[in-house]
Amino acid sequence: MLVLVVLGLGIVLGLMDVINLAQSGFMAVGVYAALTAVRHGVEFWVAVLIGTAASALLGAIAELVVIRRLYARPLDTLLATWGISLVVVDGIIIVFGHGPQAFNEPFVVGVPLLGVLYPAYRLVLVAAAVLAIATLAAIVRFTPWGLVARMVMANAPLSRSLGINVVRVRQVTFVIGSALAGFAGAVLGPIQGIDPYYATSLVAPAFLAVLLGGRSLPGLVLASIVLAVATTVFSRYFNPVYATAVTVGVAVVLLRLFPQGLTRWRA
Amino acid sequence: MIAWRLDRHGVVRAALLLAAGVAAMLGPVLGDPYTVYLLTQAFIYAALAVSLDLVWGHAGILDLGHAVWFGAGALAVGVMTTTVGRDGMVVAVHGGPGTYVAAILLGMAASAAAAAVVGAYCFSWRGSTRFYVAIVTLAVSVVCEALYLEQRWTGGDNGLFGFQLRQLDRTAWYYSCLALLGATLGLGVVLTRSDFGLLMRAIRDNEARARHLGFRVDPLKVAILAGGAALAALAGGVYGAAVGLVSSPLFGFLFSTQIVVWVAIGGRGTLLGPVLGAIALELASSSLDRSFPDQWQLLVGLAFVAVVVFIPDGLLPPLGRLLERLALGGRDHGRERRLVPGRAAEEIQGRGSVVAALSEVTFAYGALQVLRGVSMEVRRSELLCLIGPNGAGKSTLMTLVGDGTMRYGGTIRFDLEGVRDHRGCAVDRLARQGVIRKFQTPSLFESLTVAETLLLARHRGRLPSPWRRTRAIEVPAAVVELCRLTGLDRHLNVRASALPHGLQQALELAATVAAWPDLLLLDEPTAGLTAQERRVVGDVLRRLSRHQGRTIVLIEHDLDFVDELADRVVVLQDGAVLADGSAEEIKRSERVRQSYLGVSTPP
Repeated sequence: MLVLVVLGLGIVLGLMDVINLAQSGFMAVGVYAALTAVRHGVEFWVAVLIGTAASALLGAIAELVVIRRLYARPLDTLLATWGISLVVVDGIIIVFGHGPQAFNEPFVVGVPLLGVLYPAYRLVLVAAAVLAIATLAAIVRFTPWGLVARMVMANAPLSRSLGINVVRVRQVTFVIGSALAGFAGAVLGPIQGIDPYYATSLVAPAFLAVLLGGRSLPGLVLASIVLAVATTVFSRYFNPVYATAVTVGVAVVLLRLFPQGLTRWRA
Repeated sequence: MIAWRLDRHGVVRAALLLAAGVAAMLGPVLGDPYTVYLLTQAFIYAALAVSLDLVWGHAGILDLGHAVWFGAGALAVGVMTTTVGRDGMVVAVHGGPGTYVAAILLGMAASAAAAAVVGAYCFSWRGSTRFYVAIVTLAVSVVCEALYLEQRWTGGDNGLFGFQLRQLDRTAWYYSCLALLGATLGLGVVLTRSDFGLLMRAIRDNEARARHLGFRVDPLKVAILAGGAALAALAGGVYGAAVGLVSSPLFGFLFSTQIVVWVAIGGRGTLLGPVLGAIALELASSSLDRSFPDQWQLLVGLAFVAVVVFIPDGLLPPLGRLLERLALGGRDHGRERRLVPGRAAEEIQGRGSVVAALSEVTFAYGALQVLRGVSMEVRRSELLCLIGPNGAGKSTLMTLVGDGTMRYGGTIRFDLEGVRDHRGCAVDRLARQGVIRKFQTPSLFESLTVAETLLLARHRGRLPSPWRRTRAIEVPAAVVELCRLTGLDRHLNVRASALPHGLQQALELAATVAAWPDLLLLDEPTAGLTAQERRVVGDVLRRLSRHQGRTIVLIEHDLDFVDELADRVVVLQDGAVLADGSAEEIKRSERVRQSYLGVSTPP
């Protein structure tokens, strides 16, 4: 179920039009910031907010210094964000050291669900993910800001000529994306081992999810869920180490079958 | 004057190379054992960086999992020379030099095959972008690293170790690895300076155009990736034999990153840059890693980001230019190419026979019906003008004739040597058989000069030589004339991206003609030219069709120009043929006047 949050990552990647290999770095920043806050006696959910804010701030800086200069060179964006993630990882190593960190689950209560005792925190996670997706979907679809964002995505030069501040829109989108990554990183912290390379392994599956889902929100959600289920089922019944390989394999095969993305298979 | 300059540049280059070579040769005499060991390793890494530079810097295939091929080379040596116990530990090492050589060759073959599979998968998919191959190779790297840990035959967590080839001592290894680097670099230099090197850059710059000139882009990219993987595996095999260690990080994400960093900081596409980058960073990191390991990594990461953002070409090109200016006070002019007119016109055969026959061709973009049953014929050696209002389907028709893989109704038949049925023929195949299209807006290879573009066009899908560097390019006389008349001949050694728009148009037209196809599809070839240039181009085109047997279909808006030029005119409107006849007939046609020329008939 934890891969549900990969989806947060995927959605942002798809909507931003920027291939951001630094997402995992932002997730790591989110979780380390939250961790520090909790150690200073802050309530868990407040700490999550702090983590989110920390990655948003970092995202804003990264956008200002690096990403903004590269909109015309998409392949270099990919490289630069990759570099940023390296910098972030090394920064974390300097501050926190190499070792893994532990993060206690805020409530260790089991909830009976379909006859299985299911950890309550994971249910909360699912709820959080659904909430985040719904909010994002609502913003993109129903608010004027969402309309503008979609305009810029569809045709940046035209939007610019219509008087829209394209740079500002992209900046906001990028910051929201980073914030989402920080949020995902922070809430996932308690159920994952935390180390400086946190979430690095999620990057490749998330990208495949983006390719699979295309540019539309429902497509991204569907693609992430398909991949998440494939991984979970496989690691449950077979070898968890092979799960990543299988996820990639599934994505690769699905891409062959639906080259336009899952939601447009009828076309 | 030019010859003298060439000499001076050549002498300086040779002197620098000689100095570097002597310094490298003296390494073991002057350095302490540890430095010698470090340099040995750095040379291997530099060879690896060269292999990535060929794939990424020159051919534009961003391989984020390049470590996998290197690791596979090392693993092949490890597996063939060790015996692993039940617990996954190495219990015995065996094999003589022959086994090592065989293992290295086997590793190269295996890596090349694996890379070919990955490449074939990535490139054959129609919607694939440059990102796709980057992400897939990245995923392959992550997956391989994870799988490595799970296998017993790879030594799992511990890896395989202790299998270095003991017949060679430290100094011998130093020279072997230096030789490896020299050989790899030499191969890279010859390849990238050859005509084939131009094709690699052309694919990097503009894949679609390369396809339209008849090159089999996808198999070529697969071959380039596989070749790069084989070179990487060679370096990996030598690494295995020299160091005697292989473990999962050699396949992984971080090592892949490191290779990319060497190449990016050194200067992608320069070959020497990645070599210097790898050696410098490797030496610096091993001396600084001990005192400040984390800070050093952070610094490298920051430098990488900075280079990507501010100097995407890497450090070598600006440094090289600076050196050149300081040492020689000018640019090198010794490498220019020129055009020579080819043999005279061939005899024209079958003038007036049908080259292409379209019957009831229909085509739709989704729900938008663009062509509603177009029937027309194109005859050999004629100049046919296609006119019609915007949205009539002219460009679509031209695109369709040039690409048989689009889904359309009706039939298109050709009478060309290698192709009769149009349906299913990919763009590159049609181009090789003699159907070449010029786009409405210039679509060129930005880093190639005018002469280089014409050289590739001249090959029209034939593979250029991977070692020869053609200076005098033989092109049809008409191309020489076009270049002279449009002023392109004064810019033969200027990069296409540096040309003004009008000359870009002229170059695209010249390239289409240089390919010497039977059927030229020209979408507004004179847009952006002055009236004077239009007349000149028109003359050349008319002579091409009348006297040299080329068949030309041309989209044009200027009716006076059409009047002067055309043997025949076809008027398209709303996706159907409205009229078909000589320019005179078209001008007199009542229907054309009413619906297209906008002249109402007097009451």
